[in-house]
Amino acid sequence: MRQRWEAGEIGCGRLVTELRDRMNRLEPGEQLEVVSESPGAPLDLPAWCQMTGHRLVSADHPLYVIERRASHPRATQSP
Amino acid sequence: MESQKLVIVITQGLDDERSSVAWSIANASLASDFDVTVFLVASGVDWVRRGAASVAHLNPLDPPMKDMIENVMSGGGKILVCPPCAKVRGYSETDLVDGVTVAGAPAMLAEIKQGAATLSF
Repeated sequence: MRQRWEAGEIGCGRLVTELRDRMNRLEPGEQLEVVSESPGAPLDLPAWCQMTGHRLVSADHPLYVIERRASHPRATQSP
Repeated sequence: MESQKLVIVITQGLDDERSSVAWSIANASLASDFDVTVFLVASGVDWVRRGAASVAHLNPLDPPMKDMIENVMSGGGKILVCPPCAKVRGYSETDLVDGVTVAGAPAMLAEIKQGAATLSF
């Protein structure tokens, strides 16, 4: 069963910092539903997925579904 | 695979909202897999004076300043503190929080030489 994060209105740095931590707690291939009311989310969340390699499964503001990537190739600190 | 490097220069201190933006962006960059170096100059140095970050909160929608700064360190970011900017404020290394490095422009420029993008606040 997919986990869901009601992210509310947090945006910008706070949004992706917390998103990164939540994604890292999933297993590779697991998906997270993110409900984000941040007006920047339509651009910010796809951009973040593109930079980090987590897969944006769907984006229909305010609901985004993101799939955890395989472990980071450089994984010495965070996976 | 090398991460993209980013240098963030913070020139503003405890009385300027731009520094809160800068620390927030530092955290966003680490969360986006950048290799981040924060360079504190002028009043920006005040952020790592022991006890200072606990007494300022510049934007109520941002996390507490102390948390943002500690998260940069625990997230793998480097914090450099400009030596004459610290000295002119009367700070020695013991006046600064643990985990920062007193280093000047050359240390920052070395990152740029290795391809770092730069942001300045």
